[in-house]
Amino acid sequence: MTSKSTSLTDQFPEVSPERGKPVVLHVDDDLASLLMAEGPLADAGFVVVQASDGLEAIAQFKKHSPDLVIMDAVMPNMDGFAAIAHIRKTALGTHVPILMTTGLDDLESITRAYDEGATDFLTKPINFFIMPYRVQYMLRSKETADELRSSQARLDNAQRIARLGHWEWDVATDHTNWSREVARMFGFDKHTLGGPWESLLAKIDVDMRQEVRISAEVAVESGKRFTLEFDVTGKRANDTCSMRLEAEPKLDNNGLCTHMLGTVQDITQSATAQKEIHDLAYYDLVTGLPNRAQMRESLTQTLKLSERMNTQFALLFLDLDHFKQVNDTLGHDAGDDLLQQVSNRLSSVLRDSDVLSRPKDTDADSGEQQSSKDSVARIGGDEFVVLLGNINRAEDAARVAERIAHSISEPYTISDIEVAVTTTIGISVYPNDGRDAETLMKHADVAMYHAKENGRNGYQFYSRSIHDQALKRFSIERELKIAIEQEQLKLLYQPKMDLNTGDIVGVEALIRWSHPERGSISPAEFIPMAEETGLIVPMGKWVLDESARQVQGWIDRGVGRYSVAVNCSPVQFTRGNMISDIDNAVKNSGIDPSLMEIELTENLFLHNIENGIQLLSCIKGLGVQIAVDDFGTGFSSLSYLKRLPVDKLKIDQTFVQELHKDKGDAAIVSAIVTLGHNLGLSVVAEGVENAEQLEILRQYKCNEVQGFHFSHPLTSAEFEQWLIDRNGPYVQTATG
Amino acid sequence: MSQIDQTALNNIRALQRPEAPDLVERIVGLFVTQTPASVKTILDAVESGDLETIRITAHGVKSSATYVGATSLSKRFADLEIVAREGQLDLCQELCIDINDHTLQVIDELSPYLDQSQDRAA
Repeated sequence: MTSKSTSLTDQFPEVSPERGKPVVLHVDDDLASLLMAEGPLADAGFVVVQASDGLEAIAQFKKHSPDLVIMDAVMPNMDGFAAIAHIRKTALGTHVPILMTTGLDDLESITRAYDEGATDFLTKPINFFIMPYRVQYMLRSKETADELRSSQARLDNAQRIARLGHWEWDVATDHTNWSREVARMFGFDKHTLGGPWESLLAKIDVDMRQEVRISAEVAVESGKRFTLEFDVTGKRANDTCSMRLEAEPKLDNNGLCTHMLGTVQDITQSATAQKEIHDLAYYDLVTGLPNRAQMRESLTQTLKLSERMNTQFALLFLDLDHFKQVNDTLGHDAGDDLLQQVSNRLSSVLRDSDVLSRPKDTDADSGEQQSSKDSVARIGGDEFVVLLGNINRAEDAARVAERIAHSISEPYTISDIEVAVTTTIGISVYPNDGRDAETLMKHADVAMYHAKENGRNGYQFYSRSIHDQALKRFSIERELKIAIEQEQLKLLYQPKMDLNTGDIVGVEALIRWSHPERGSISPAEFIPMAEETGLIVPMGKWVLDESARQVQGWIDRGVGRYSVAVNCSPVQFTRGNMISDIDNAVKNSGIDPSLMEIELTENLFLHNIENGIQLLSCIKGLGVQIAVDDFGTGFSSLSYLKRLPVDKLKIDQTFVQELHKDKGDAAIVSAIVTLGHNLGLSVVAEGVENAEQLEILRQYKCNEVQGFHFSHPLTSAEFEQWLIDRNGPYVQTATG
Repeated sequence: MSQIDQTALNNIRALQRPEAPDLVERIVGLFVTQTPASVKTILDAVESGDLETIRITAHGVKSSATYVGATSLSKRFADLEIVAREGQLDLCQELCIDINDHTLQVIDELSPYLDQSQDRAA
C-alpha cells in the first residue's frame, strides 16, 4: 500500500474531541488498520484522530494533544521512531503513553522504539478487539503515573516551602537516596539525588561531622532514633545554614537495622531568630554586655558550682560616679559612648586578672578544679555587676576592685572631649554575705552605697569584718612584696645545744619582719599569706642565701663552725625550684653543705609518699642535713619514716612544754627519742624552757635541745656576744 | 484451493459498527484497488534494484493481505520484506516471479465480496 502522494487524514472526518472523552491518535500508513481500529476504540469511549505517517502524526499531535498515541513503526515520509522522538521532545509529549505497533519478529524495531521512548507494543497483525483494552490499561497507568508525579511535585513543593527534605540510607549497600530539597540544602546539583552515606556527611561542617557519623553508627547498633543539629556551609563561607536532622532506624524481622529513614530541616531562620530573641532578652543593646537576666543566670550557675565545690566567689556592684552629669551635659549619645568604653575596660580588667582562676596552691594536687568564669554585666543605666567566679580570698576581690577603679578612672575621649568618671564598688562574698542570688545582689548594692558615703572612687565589702580583714591582708600582702624588695626582713638565730657535750652545735634561723610603721609583724601573720600568694618562694630563697652566708661569716670571723637549720614551706617545692635554691645557697656561700639543715614538716609527704622520698633523696644528694620538724603532731606514719632519708627528728614543743608535768607527754617524748635512735636518727627537742624539762630530756638521751631556757632567738651580733658570754673569747671555741 | 481464510473476513465483519459503511467492503475494496499498484511498485523496484522501496511496500501489503485473509500471499510479502531488508536482490527477483499471478488470484477470489456489497448497495 503506497500513499506517498495522498494524505490519508484528508479522508477522515474532522474530529472535535468530546468533552471528557480521552483522545487517541492512531498513526498507520495502512488505511485498513485505521478503519478496523476505529470502531472498537470508539465503542470503548475514545475519540480517535488519525494520521498516515510520522509527519502527519506530529501535526495531529500538536493540534489535538491526544491522551495516547498508537504508532506504526514502518511508514513512508517519516517513520514511527522519528515521530516518537519528536513527540517526546515537546512539553505535552514528555509523558504521553505511546503504543507502538510492530511485527512480532522485528526485535530490532522493538529495541529501537524503546530507546526512542515508546511505552508499550502491540504486535501485528493487530487484534482490534484487544486493542481498546490495552489502550485503557495504558491510560490508567498514565493516570497513576501522573498522580505520582503530581504527588511528588506537591511533596517537593511542600518540602521546599517547609525547607524540609527526606532521605533514606540502605545500610547494607551504603546507598542513600535524598529528596530534591536535601540536594538543595546540602549543595548537591538538582540531579544528584543519591550517593554513599559518606557523601552526605562530607557536606556537614567538620566540627559536627564526626558526631553525626557516630550517632548514625550508634543508631544502627541500638535501633534508636536520634536528632542532631549542625551547620552546612555552601561554596561561600558566609553561606552557612543550620540544619536539624532526624533519623529513625528501620529494623527487619530479626531486629537488625537495614535502613535508616530521616528528615533534614533548614532551621537557619528559626536559629537566627532564636539567637536574636535570646540576645534581646539577655544582652544589653548599648554595650553588648550580658544584662541583668543573663547575670542572674550566671549567678545561679556559679552558686550551684560553689556550693558543690565548697568555694567562694564575689559579686561586685559598680556604679559610675557622676555619670548623670556626662549624660546631661554631653547628651545621651555621648553617655552611650562612655558606657561602651567603660564596658570595654571592665572586660579588659577581667581578662587580665589571671589570679582569679588560679586554684589554691596548697590544693594543687588534691583533685577537681573549678570551671566557673568571671563575667561582667550591665544591669541598669550606669550600674554594672562583675561576678568573680572563683576567688581564694576576699583580697582577690579587693585587688580586682582596685584595678577596676583604677582603670575606670583613666580619662576618656568622647566626641573629642576628655571626660573623667570614677566608680564606686560594693562587694559581697559567697557564702559569707549570702547564699542566694537575691541576697548577694542586695548586699553588694548596700556595700556600694556605704562606699559612696565614705567618699566615691573606692570599694567596700558588705561585711565589715571581711572588709577590715581583706583590707589589712591586702595591704600586708602588698607591703610584704615591698619588704622583700627593700630587705625589711631579717633573720634571728636560736642556738641549739648538744645535750651530751654541752656544746653549742648550731642555730635555727627564724624570719622576722620589722615593718617601718607597724613595727614587728608576726611570722604567724605573714607566712600563711606569703604561702598563699607565692611570695614564700623569693622569701624562702632569701632565707637560704642569708643563713648560709651567715654561717660562712661566722667561720670567716672565727666565731665558730655552726650549722644552721632553715624552715622550708611545702609551697617552695610546689611553686619554686627548691633543690636549686638550696644548692645555690650552699655553693654561693662556700659552706660545707653538712652545715645546712633543711627543716620540713610531715605534711610535705602527706599526699604522695613516693614523691616525698624522691624529693628528700635529691636534697640529701646535695649533702645537706634533713630534719622532720614538729614531729608527732602531724602525719607521723611510722612505716614510712624508716624509708625517708632524713637525719633528725624535731620533737614538737607542745610535747616538751608539759613534759615535766604530764606523764603522757613524757611517754611520747621518750618514745620519739627511742624511735629516732632505733632508726639511727638524731633527736632534737625544741621549746625547752626550764631545767626540769632539760633534765628529763637528758635522761631520755635526747641529742640536742633549744629553747628560752638557753636563749631567745638572737640577731647575728647578739648571738656572737652570747657565745662570748657563755664560752669566753672566740678563740677558745674556734680552736677547741 | 481457496487463497482466502474466511475467518479473517468474519473478524472484520465483527468490527462492523451499526450505521457505518460496510467495513468488509471498504477493507476489501482498499485491498483490491491498492494492491495491484503496490505490486507494480515492487516489480519496478526489483527491476531497478531499489531494496528500500521493495521492503516498505512489501511490509504494507503484508498487513493488508493478512487482514483480508490472504494468508499465503501475506506470507509471500513477508518473505519479500525479509530478503529485501537483508539486501538479497536475487531472492527478491525469485519471489516476485509469480507474485502478480498470486495477487490477481486473491483479488479474483475477493471480488464476490465487492460484488455482494455492490449488489446490496444497488
